[in-house]
This record gives sequence, C-alpha cells and structure tokens, in this order.
Amino acid sequence: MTSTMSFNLDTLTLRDAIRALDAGEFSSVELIRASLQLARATEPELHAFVELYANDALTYAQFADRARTILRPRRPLTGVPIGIKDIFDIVDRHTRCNSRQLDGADVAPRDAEAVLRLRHDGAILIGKTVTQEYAAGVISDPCRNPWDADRIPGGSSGGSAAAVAVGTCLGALGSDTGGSIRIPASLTGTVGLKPTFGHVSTQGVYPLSPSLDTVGPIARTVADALILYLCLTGRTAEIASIEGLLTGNSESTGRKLTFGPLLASDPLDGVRIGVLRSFGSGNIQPDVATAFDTSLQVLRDLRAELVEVSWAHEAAARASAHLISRAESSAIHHQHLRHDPDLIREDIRSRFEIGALVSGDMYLRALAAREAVRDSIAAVYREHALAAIVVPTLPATAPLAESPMVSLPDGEEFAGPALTRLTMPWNATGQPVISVPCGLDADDLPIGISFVGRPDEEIALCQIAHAFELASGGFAALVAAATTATS
Amino acid sequence: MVDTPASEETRTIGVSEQELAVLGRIAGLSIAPARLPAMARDLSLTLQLAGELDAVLGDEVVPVIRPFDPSWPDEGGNGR
Repeated sequence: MTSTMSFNLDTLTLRDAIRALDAGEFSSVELIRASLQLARATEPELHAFVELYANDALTYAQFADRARTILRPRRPLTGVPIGIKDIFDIVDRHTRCNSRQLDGADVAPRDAEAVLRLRHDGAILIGKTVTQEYAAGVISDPCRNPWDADRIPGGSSGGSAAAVAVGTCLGALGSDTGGSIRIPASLTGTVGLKPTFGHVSTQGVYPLSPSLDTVGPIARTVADALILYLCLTGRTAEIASIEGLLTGNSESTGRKLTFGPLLASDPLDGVRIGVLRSFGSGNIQPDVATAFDTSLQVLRDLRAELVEVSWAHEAAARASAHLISRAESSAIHHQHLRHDPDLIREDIRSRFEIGALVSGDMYLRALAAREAVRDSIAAVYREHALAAIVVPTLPATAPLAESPMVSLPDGEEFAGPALTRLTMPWNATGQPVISVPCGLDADDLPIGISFVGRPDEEIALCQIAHAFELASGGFAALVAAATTATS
Repeated sequence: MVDTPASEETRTIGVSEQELAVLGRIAGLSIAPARLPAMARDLSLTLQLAGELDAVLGDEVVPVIRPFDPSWPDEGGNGR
C-alpha cells in the first residue's frame, strides 16, 4: 500500500483514522509505527505506559493492512492503536495494577471481555497503561499530565487518558468506580464516557468495588467514545451510521432514541437540560466556574432549554458510594491487607483498612440508600422533564504531582476527596456520564464539563455532548489554543 | 467510639486513636502507631458520611440483597 502519511497524531481522531485507513490514505503499519515513535519520544517524561507491545502491534498492523484488502465489511477498529488500563487482563500478559504485591503473579489466561471485544473488532493493543494502585485513587503515579509534566493526569485511569491526549493511542479502556474515567479525562482535555452501570462487562477486570465498577472508553471526541462504547457493548453494526446516531437521524439502529431527529441548524432545540448550580456546594476554582458559565451560554446558543434544578440527596449519594466502595474494596483486598501490607502505598492501604472498619449495618444502609438516591434523581428528571443534567466534571484543574493538593475557594484539600466530590454521586445512581473538554484555565490546563444522562440512554447523551463539542471546539480547540499561547 | 453531639443540626462523630487501635486489632490489621492519627481522622470522616444516609433512609431499613439496577421505571417525559 502506498500512502502520503497524511496524519498528525497531535489531533488525529479515531473516527478520522478509521476513515483514512479505509480510504488508503495511510496504512496501519504507518500509523502504528508513528504511535510507537511518539511513545518513544514522550514516555521518558510522560510514563503513560507500563509496557508497550511494539513487536506484536506491528505484526497485527501488517495483518490489518492485508485484511483490509480482503475483508468486506471490515471490522470497525481494524488497525487502530488502543491502550488498555493495567487492571484489564490481556492473555499471556501480566496484570500488575501498579502494585508491588502482584509482582511475580502469573500471566492472564485469557483476555478480559472488554479487551476481547475490542480485539475482535480489529483494535491493535499497543500497550498497558498506568493505573493508580489497584485503581484506588486519582494520582496514577508515575504518569504525568501531557499538558504540564509537573502535574498529575488524574486517575485512576491516568495512563489511558494521558496516552490518548498525547496521541500514542487513539482510544483507551478505563474503569470508573468513583470518577476514574471522568477525572483523568477532564484533567487531560480528553473525553471520558462512564456508561450506565452494568452495560459493559467487568469480567477479567481487577475489581475495586464490584457494586460500582464500570468499564468505559477514553477518547479524543464524543464520536470516538461512542464508537468504542458500541464495540464494547456488541453493537458494532451501528457504527456505520455513527453520523446519524450523533445527530439523531439514524434509521438503521432499529432502536428508539430518546429524542426525535435533531436538526443540524438548532441541534439542541427544546432539549431540556438541568443545571445543578449548588452541586458540590459551588466550591470550585474561579476559572472552572467561568468555563462552566461560558459552556451554559454555548448550550443556550444551541437552543437548549436550561432549567435550574436542585437535588436534595446529593450528599447521601456521595456517602453511599463512598461507604460501598470502602467496604467492598477492603473485602477484595482482605488478604493483601494481612500479608505484606507494607507493599501497598500508604494512602491506599489506609483506605482499604478503613473499609475493614465499616460495619455490616453501615454497608447495608449504604446499599439501601443507593436505591433511594437513584429514585430521587429519577424524580428530579421526571419533575423537570430533563434529557440530561450538566455539571462541572471537577472543581479544579490538574494539581501538582509533587504535592497533590487542590486549591479551592474554601481552602486547600487533598486531591482524592476534592476530585471525586462531583463525580462520585453519579456512581451511586449508576447513570451514564460523559465528560467533554470545555476550556483552559489561566495556566493552559484543561477543564471538563459533564453531561449526566438517563440510564440506558448513552446515544441520546452523546447527541447532546456531540452538539456541545461541535459548538465549543472540543479537544482540537484546546490543542489549538494551547499551541497559539505557546507560539 | 465517641459520639459527640455538636448541635441539633450537625453531629461530629469521633474515633480516638486508642479506639482505632483496638478496632484494627479486632479486624486483624496491623496499624503502626504513627499511622493512627491520620487514620482516626479518616475513619471519623467516613462515619460522619454515614450520617448523610439518614437523609434518604427511614428508621427501618430493609436490607438490599439484590444487585443494583440503575434503570428507572418508565415515567414518560423524555426531556424534549
């Protein structure tokens, strides 16, 4: 195959790569080579990957290029580089979970279900990405933020988000128990989709809190995240009509969408979106507040109908997710806490130990409260006839790695509780949430906005997020703005 | 475990380091003395969070033994 190598990994999207590979504009081998070359250049500072599978990736890329000339219809992800968070099993590879306790563990006997689905759809697994130890936190050490290497990428799916942001892979798998997809997505300017709880299999994923663990994609655009979500849920046939799905004009899905057709001229005309103004007590950094207000104006310009709403049980939602997560993660790590606990990073160890002290009564009350808060948020959507709720993804931009404290108007706070405050309530309710970049702060650090959808309505949610992304510029606009600022 | 009423509206639930040490031993954990102060603070915060559940729970809580189902009943009104 001849090509002109007409791509730029700074801004290339998964969807454009799929189209260009199909059109023969470049080959999978060229794309994978470029990804590996970029990784070699960036990894010494970024540390997004635990390991790269260079030889395997190039071999599979050769297969992909041959398969593309033979197979019709082509598998949707044929020949594109995808990163896998190092809590997902990959056959014959180690799953290390960034834990010294798992050094020397056997290789995985088979792929995790989510990995298998992406592989089946033609994805090339370019490497394992760095996670916070046991996926229990927001730092993802030693990975750093591509926007400022002195800062954390967020976590626990920090390596996945950093790799997508820099371009070494065009999509990646993450997991989200208290915000671990959305937090790094927001801090790195990428898009993170936490699907409805239970939609994507967690089989073969190292658990943190099985009642909350949710698998989902991190990508550069809403369309890319939706493509990966459709692959992860076995709905690949719908990818061919992705444009129709995103604009609500699809007739091929055989699936009733929440909305009627969205008109391109007024894509959100009449769509009712709730604004939780007091979410997280409004304790957010001024630049984040400004970006959020600007984003609301973008939504108004798209003719969305914004409705101020309140939710009385936000704190109970956060508390139930917190208690369930603590208790279950402690049970998961019962043996780890009693054999070589010194091998666990101290803050993670303390978190698990505290979980061991959560009483059975407290755990059962948290489970019961979770059902109550699900019903209470459903009532808010019903009362106001909402399609989605919009909130800032996080109260802050990326903290410094050396001292991961978050400066907020009410004072300094540890990164863990500060960065999960706005994300964790939605783990309790189990709703789908997508975080989309919405601007940069004064230090050119990305800011994210989250759309919270109705359960099982990922496509409708992506329609709203896609319309917002088109109007606000998304990842590409952040890159352009940062490039302008530094040139 | 010390339950310290602060006011009618708010309650501060505190765990002393000594109490934490005992609880840790009962749970089979080895918590070094140097770690007790920070962990006691964190556990106290966790217990305070448990108080937040009261806002949605009645006096009698029926234990939930089924897997969580995130779906909502069909309520009509789809936001458009």
